[in-house]
Amino acid sequence: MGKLDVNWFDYGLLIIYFILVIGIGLLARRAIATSEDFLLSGRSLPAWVTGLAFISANLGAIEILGMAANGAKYGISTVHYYWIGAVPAMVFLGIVMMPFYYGSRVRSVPEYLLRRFNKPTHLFNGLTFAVAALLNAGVNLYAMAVIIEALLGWPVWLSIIVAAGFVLIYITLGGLSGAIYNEVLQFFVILAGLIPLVIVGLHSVGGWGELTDRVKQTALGEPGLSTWGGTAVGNWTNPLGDWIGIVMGLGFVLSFGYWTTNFAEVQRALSAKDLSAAQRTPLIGAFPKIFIPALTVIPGLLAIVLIPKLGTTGGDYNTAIPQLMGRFLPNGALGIALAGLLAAFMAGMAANVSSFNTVFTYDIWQDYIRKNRSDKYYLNVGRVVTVLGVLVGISTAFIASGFSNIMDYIQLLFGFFNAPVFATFIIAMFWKRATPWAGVSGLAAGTAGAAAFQFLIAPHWAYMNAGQSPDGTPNPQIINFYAAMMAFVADAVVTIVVTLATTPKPVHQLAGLVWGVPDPNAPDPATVKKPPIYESPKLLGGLAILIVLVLSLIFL
Amino acid sequence: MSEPTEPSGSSERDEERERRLSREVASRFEPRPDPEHLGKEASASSRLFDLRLMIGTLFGIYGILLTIYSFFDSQAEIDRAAGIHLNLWLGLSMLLVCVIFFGWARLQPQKPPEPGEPTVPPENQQPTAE
Repeated sequence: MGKLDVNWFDYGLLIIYFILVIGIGLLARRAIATSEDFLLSGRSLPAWVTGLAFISANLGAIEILGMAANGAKYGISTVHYYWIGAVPAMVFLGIVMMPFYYGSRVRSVPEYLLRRFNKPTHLFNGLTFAVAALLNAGVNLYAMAVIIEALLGWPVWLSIIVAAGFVLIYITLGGLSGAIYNEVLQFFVILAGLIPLVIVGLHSVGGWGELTDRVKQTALGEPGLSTWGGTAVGNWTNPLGDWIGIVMGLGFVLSFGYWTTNFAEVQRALSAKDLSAAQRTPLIGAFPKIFIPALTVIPGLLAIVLIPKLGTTGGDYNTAIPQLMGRFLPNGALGIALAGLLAAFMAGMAANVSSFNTVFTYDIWQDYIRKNRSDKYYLNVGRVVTVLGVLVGISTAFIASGFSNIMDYIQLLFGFFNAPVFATFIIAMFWKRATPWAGVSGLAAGTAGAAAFQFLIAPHWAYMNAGQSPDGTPNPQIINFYAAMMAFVADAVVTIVVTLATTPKPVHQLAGLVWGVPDPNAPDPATVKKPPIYESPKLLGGLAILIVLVLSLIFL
Repeated sequence: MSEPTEPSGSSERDEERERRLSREVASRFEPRPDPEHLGKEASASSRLFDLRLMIGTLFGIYGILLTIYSFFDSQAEIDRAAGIHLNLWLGLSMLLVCVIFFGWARLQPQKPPEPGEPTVPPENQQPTAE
């Protein structure tokens, strides 16, 4: 693809943005006196900030460009990643799980596992999360550098160093507050970049009706316009596979696992100022999340209509949005969109680094390496770990630039650790009998289950291939979804079996961590002020689900 | 942090009452202060600035610059955006967003630092450290 026609004015807008990014870090530094100020924003943020940061932490540029690519490849089935994939899990996190996380005062997701189960469970989850976070930070950085090179002509090493440098400055200075504030700012800038793009794009093809007519004439064709078409079990033709995989694998296991247990997400809610704000964090995030496909899937569809040979000689699918930017946006609007994209790249890395440093400081360093030091000490550890995390991220990015296939493979491997986590959490929170050793055994079994499905079962099961024939190409989506279901079942079965064979924790140790075991130190519910009706988690969650249902029926 | 111990001591009843009193003061479900930090440095989180002013500032600057720049847009630039005078519309919309954020921050200012939270004696914390 051609380079963007960027002029001095666009660069000026970019520079203003970068000055503000550093300004946020400098200003947020005043608010840091303790390790919890640095690693959890002192649990002081209002719900609208944590709520927007909750989705922004996930709205990295890889996500934006990748979902537009999916829109071009798969059509509007891509909305499954939002409406069945994200929203129900976010509602569940806010209404059901957040009281256990926030109310028990844990500082991280691994710490919940430590209090609920035992040290091996804690280490298993803490270490895999820490390594995966750094890996993701590096992969984000590398992907960014490749796209910046294509768009602006900057060499790969330069954009890696510059982007990582800015992230380093604003997180080391401002801690989690610096990261979260930048995420929220980025959210608005990316909207200011993408909304004009969608409006102009739709206007130029003659509106939504005209766009769908033209999509029918592309290679994507009619199936690209239906979300649930072709998902029949037995003879699926939908690019995402059958409905069992979509509903159970993607919607239930993978999405609930990611949104409710991934610390990069949950950390945003833990930084909220009280339980009500923590509960509303994912719920407030759910509303923009419902409508983000309009800014990713529609550009994908526009690209497949407007850019000849997209996906082959017309450029990689991931370039759908940048190509539309170059085509439609005049200088000025282009600079804003570019600032949003660069900010999203940095946010994708910052979310990983700011959750990594918390897990490393509290869950690894404080619990296993240097216990019982002063808080000042752990604050400094947090800062040093942040710098080291960024440096490892940079090295990972350079390794990825040399061996990108190996990186894909390692990411696939780390996916196996994530797949079963939700099974362990749901049992942990609702079955007080579940024993300490059941925790780690379940996680290990689930990880093994996902790997076994991927490597041993899927290659020999024709149902996983396009057309369900032994000669068809394997469909990575349905394999991924079924592997997740396998992980969930393996985790649940082993957790239950081990529980029945070992001794449970005394109930008083589980206070506040498990459903039906209230924390005796928690305030009497009667003395807690009722939030106003518009802050009720059930109302907000119900509303989000209702909107998704209506939209799903419209785009059936 | 995995082995909680029983709340200890003879003065449990006094502490119980003290705790209930302090809960009544705290009208909201406030989480307990972290045991590690009791008697140590106080959080400075209340000094965090209001993000709404920052968003308003950025959108204000962008809005003004884009609106001015849009008067110098050539016809080619307008044609590129399918005939929409994009920089002008985007600039004005960003100014509107700027006004909304400053207005919101003015109508609902960020709360001043809360006067001292009721403190709970360390013995009453859910014990955590080994």
